[in-house]
Amino acid sequence: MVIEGGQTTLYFGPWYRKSPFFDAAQRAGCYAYDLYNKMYIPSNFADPVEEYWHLVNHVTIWDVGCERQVEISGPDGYEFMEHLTPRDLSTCKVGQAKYVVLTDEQGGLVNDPVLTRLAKNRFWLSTADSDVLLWAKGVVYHSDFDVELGEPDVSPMQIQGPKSKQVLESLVGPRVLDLEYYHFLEATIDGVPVLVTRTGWSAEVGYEIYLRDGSRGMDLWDRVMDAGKPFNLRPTGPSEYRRIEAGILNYPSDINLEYNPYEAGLGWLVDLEKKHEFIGRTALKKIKKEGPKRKLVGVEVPGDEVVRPWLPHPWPVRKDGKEIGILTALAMSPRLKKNIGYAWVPTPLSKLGTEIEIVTPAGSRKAIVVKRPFIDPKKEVPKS
Amino acid sequence: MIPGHTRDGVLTEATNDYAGPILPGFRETAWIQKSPYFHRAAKHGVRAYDLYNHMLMPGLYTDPVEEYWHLVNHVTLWDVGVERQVEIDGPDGFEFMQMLTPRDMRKCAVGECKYVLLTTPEGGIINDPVLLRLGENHFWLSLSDWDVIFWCKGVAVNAGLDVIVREPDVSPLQLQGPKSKDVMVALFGEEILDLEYYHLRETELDGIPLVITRTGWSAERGYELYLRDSKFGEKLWDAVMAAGTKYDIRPIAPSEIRRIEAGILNYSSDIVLDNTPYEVGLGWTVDEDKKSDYLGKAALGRIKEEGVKRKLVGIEVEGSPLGAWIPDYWDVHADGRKVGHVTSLTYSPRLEKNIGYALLGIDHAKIGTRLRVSTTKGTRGATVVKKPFVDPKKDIPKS
Repeated sequence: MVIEGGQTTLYFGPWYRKSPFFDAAQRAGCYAYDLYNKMYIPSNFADPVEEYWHLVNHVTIWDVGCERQVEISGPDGYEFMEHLTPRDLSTCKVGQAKYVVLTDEQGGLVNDPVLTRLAKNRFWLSTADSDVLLWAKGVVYHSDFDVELGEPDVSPMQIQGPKSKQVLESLVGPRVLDLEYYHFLEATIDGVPVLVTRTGWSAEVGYEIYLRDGSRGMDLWDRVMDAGKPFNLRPTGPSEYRRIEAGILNYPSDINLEYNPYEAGLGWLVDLEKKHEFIGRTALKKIKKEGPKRKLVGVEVPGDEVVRPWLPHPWPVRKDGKEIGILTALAMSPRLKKNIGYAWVPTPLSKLGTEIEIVTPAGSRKAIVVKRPFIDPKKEVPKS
Repeated sequence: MIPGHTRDGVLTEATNDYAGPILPGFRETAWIQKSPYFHRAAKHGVRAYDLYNHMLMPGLYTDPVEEYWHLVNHVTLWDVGVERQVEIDGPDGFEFMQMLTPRDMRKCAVGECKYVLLTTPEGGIINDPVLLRLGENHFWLSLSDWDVIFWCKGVAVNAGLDVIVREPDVSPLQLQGPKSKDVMVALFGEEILDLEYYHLRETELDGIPLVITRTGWSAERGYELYLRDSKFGEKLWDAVMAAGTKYDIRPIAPSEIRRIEAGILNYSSDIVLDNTPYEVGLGWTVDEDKKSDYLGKAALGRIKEEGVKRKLVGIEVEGSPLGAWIPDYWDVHADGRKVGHVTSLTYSPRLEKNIGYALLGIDHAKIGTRLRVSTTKGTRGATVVKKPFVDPKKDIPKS
C-alpha cells in the first residue's frame, strides 16, 4: 500500500508574500503550493513523476521567488561575510557564486544559502527557509563591522534541465554558453534587469535568473516561456525526486539549527584554519576533534513504493526496536525505481549496509544505509 | 473538498459571506512541522490550515461565525503549538532580556507574564511575544510569527553576555471562553482560580509537565497550557476535551473576528518589521523611564519626539459582509489618492459591521475621517473609528 502524502487547504491570507511570478504560475495551472520563507512556492503543475521526467529530459521553469535574498554591502562587507561563514571566501572572485553554510556559536546550521559576489564588498545570499536577515542584523549589533544589510528587490526563477542552455542562449545570447558552473553574468532581457547564475536545485544543467525589478515579473515569465517554446519548456515545481537522487539537502527538514555541518556531510564547507574569525569556529573545532555523534545518511527502502509523492512528515527510525533517529526525506526515484531518502542515525549505525527500520503510518519497513548521492556523485551532469 | 473548490489551481472566492478565501492544494512536507496536537485536531475536521512559524495551525474547522459564537458563549480549545518559544537562560539572562525589549523587566516579577515588543536598533518591530518570567534569569518568549530565535542568537554573538538562547520542547494550547475557568477547575482544582491575569503557574496534570498562564488571543476569559514535553500532546488534548465535555468544549481556530473586536494585533499583517511601536498604537509597551539600554532606545526616543508619519487605526467599512478575513491588503483612498492599506478586516456578527485596521498617513488617521476602500466587492465607503471595538478596558478577560 502506498501512503499518499497529505494534501489539504490553506488559509489564504495576505501575510504570505506572493512572488512576482505568482499570477503567471497560477495561470499556468499550479494546483499545489507550499510555503517557504513566508512566501508561496508552486509545488506542482502536473503529476510529480511527469514533472521529473520533463526536468531530466527537457527543460523546466520554477517560480522560486521564495529564495529570498539578503544583501550585504558597505566598507566591511567582505570581512562580515567571512565572519558569517566557515567557508574560506578568499578565493571567491567577483562574478562567482558559492554554496555556503552559516553557523551559530554552537556550530548549528543557521542556513545553507548560495552566495553571489557582486563586488568586492557586496554579496547576495540566496537563502533557504530561515530568516538570515534577522540573524545577520543581530550579529552585526555590538560588533565593529561597518556594513549595510537589507533585502533587495530580487526574485529568482530557476530554468533547469538539459535544454536550459538553449533557452538561456536565446534569452541573453551566446555568451551564456561560456558561463561556468557557479558563476554569474548580468544582463537585461527586453529591458528587464537580471542576473543569471549557473546554479540550481536539480543537479541537471541549469540556471537561475534573478529578476531585479519586482514589477516586471510577468514580463520576464512570458518572455522566458516564449524563448522556451522550441525546447518544450514547461512550468513545474522543484523536483523532490531529482534533488534526493543528487543528495541535495533541504533546510529545515534535512538540516537545521540542531545539526552541525560535520554531521550533515557538509564538512567540506568548513575551513577551520581560514584567516578570518567566524561564528562557530571554537565549537566546530571541538566537534571535528571528537567526531560527530550522528550522521545524515542515505537510505534505501527495498520493495514497493512507500510514500507518494514525498514524505509528508519526518518518520521515526528504529534499530532493534529502539528509536534511534528520524527519516527526513523519502521518495521513489522514477529512474532508479527505488525508495531513496535520508535519515539521521547515530554514527555507529551510519556504516554502509547497516540495516535499520523506518516507522511508517502503515507499519515498519526495512531500510539500508547506502551511499549518497544516489547518482552522479561528481556532479558531471550539471557541470557539462 | 470544500464545495465550490476545484483542484485546477483557480483561487475561489469565499464559500459563503463569512468565510474568507482559501487556497486549495496545500501539500504536506517534512519541512513544515506539525504540533503534537495535529492529529487530534485533524480528527475534528480541519478545513484549512494557516502556516505560522514554519508549522501548520488549524485555521478553520466549520464556519468562522459559528466558531466565534462558541468562543463568546462557551469554551474552546485551540491548537497553537505554532506559538514557538525562545528560551533565555544563563547568568546574564535578565540583562539580555532587558537588552531585547523596550519594556522594563524590573517591573516584571518572577511568575508574571508581559506582552512585549522586540525592537531593532532602528526601532522596527521584530516580534510581539508574550513573555513568561520563569526565574530570575529565565524567560520564555511565546512568539508570534517568525524566526526570532535567529535574531536572539545573533544578538547574543557579540553582546558579551553569558546567556543561553534555545528553543525548548514546549507546545501551547489555548483554552478560551467564559467557561474556561470551569474546565480549569475540573482539571486543576479550585485553587487555579487564584491565578491572576498575566500570571503563570508551573504544575503537572497526571504526570504531564505544564506551565499554565492566564493569557490568550481572544480577550475572553482564557488560559494557555504550555506543554513541556511533546510526547504527552495527545494525552493532554484528551484530558482537556474530557474535562470540557460538560461545558460544551469544542476545538476551534483562533478567531479573527474576536481578536479584531478586541483590538489585538497580528504580527505579519498589522505589524511588520518596518513599523515602530508608536505607529501601531503600542507606545504603551515602551517604558520611557527605563534606565538600562536596549535595542532601539535612541531611535524610539527620537521617533517619539518627532511624532509618527503614519498610524494604524480602526476602520469601519460600509455595506454587506466582506468575509472573515481578507485575501489582500486592500488599498485605502481619500481625497482622490492612496493614503494607506487595510491590514485586517472581518465582519463582526455581534456588531453587524465590517471592522478592521488600516495603516494610514497621519493626515488621514483622525477619528471620523472618511475613506474609500478597494475591496474584492467593489469600492466601499469607510470611516476611521476608535479601537478596540468592544471592551476597551479588558474587563472581560480580567473578570
